[in-house]
Amino acid sequence: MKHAVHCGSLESERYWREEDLAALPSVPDAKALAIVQAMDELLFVFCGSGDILLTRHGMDKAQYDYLQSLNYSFKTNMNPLTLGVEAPGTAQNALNAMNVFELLGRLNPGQEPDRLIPEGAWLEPFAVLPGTHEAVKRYKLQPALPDEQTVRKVNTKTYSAAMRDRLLLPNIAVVVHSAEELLQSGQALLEKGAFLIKDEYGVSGKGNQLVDTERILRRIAGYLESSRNQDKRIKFVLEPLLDRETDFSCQFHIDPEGRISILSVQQLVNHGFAFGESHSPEPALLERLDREDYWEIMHSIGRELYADGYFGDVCVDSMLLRDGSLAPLVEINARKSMSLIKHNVDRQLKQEGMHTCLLQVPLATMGEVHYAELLGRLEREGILFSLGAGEGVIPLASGTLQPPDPSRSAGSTKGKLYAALAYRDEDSKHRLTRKLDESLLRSGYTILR
Amino acid sequence: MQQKVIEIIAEIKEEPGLRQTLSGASDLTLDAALDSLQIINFILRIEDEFDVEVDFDTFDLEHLKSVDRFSAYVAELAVR
Repeated sequence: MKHAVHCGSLESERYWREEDLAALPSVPDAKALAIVQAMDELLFVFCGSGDILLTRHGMDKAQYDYLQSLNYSFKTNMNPLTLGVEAPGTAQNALNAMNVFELLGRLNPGQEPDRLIPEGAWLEPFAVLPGTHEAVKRYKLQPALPDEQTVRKVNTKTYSAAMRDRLLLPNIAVVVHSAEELLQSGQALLEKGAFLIKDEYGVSGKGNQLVDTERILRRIAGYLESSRNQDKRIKFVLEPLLDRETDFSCQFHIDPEGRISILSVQQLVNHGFAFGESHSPEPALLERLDREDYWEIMHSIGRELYADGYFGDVCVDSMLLRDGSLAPLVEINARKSMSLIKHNVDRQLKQEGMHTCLLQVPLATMGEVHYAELLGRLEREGILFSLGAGEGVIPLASGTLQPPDPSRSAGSTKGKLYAALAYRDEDSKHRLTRKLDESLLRSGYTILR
Repeated sequence: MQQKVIEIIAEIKEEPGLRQTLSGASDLTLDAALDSLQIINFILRIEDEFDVEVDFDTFDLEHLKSVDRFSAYVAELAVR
């Protein structure tokens, strides 16, 4: 049986974004990028027996051993993937700017991936990125992946907006191509309320700007005309801010022959526009989706994506609004997703009568902390999930808690714990999260909420 | 200015309790836990409130190390 190589950069949109696109105001945050780059460890959830997981920084041995105890039997690199560049400055910046496939493509021969990757294995990327097809060639992997340009196109906000028209769904989006158009359309939208400016490759937490006053609108338009954006192509989607009641997403897969399989729906609890927690949907939500032909809409999106040349994993963001209406297509993400990660945790570990959720805990650390100590503490507290226990906390990545600090500055390091929780009822969920918080604090982490 | 900055943070975070817990020494990304999107919205609100313009391209996250430090930065912008 052919094994699969699982690998990816979860900040896919960063690598799809064309350099000639004008950008909304942002502040560079290298520490936040370091956390996302360490999230590739979460891809272990997709590993079958004997599969290979390649991660940018290498997995902590304690985490690897823990996952093996949960019957995940994959091979992985224990050392960081590096080009052997030790000099600080531009070389390190260039390394940080590369996605994991670009990095793999430039590794010197004889490094860990050469020993781990069997010839003829399938590549299972989080998303198809620049450098993915080159990595397939270099490591002689099976090339069953869509074209990179197709993947870029179907992940844009304008593609999602146009898809609503193709499927005759209500479409509230306006596409603008200049600062002047932004001002005109923005002023018309503001008369009815706040709206969002969406970057072509914006993701939750970045690239979506809320505009609720004319001054902010003028400020953004001015920024797009500033020297920062000189000669850049302006392309944004404007959408009235939806009065959402429930965020959820649907995960489905399109195989290379165009067959579509609906995999799951996950309900999301977002903090503002950023991911907070995902959990299995309430039965009432699923009944509502049955009544509203939601599944047929998802199949239609899948068929259109396939007709445009895409196959692979898809996550469609949807919403229930406070006025009772359903917005089935908020955004198409033609890649794997956090919700698909949650679904795969369920497939492997969920037991009858148990609920599961996936959460993140933003952290800061002042000195060096040891991941193994946290795992040990969770075990001593009786909340570390084990196959016999049925409920507990499953830490999903070791490297995100204290990722390498790109600035190498003294002081605090920012990190995040990604974990799945298996619990019987709301009381046991609260007990687990409280004990998890206590364990993090006692292990030297500060919780940022 | 310090109190107004804290009020705007509490508004952006939608956590009125921050008005009491934050002080001049509070770190905006650690103690107030502003994420990258909230930082932009916070800066836009500050610009509006104090009639200043921040240069996003050269903005240094070090300015967010404390409310006092950020207030001093805004005060400097205001007199330019």
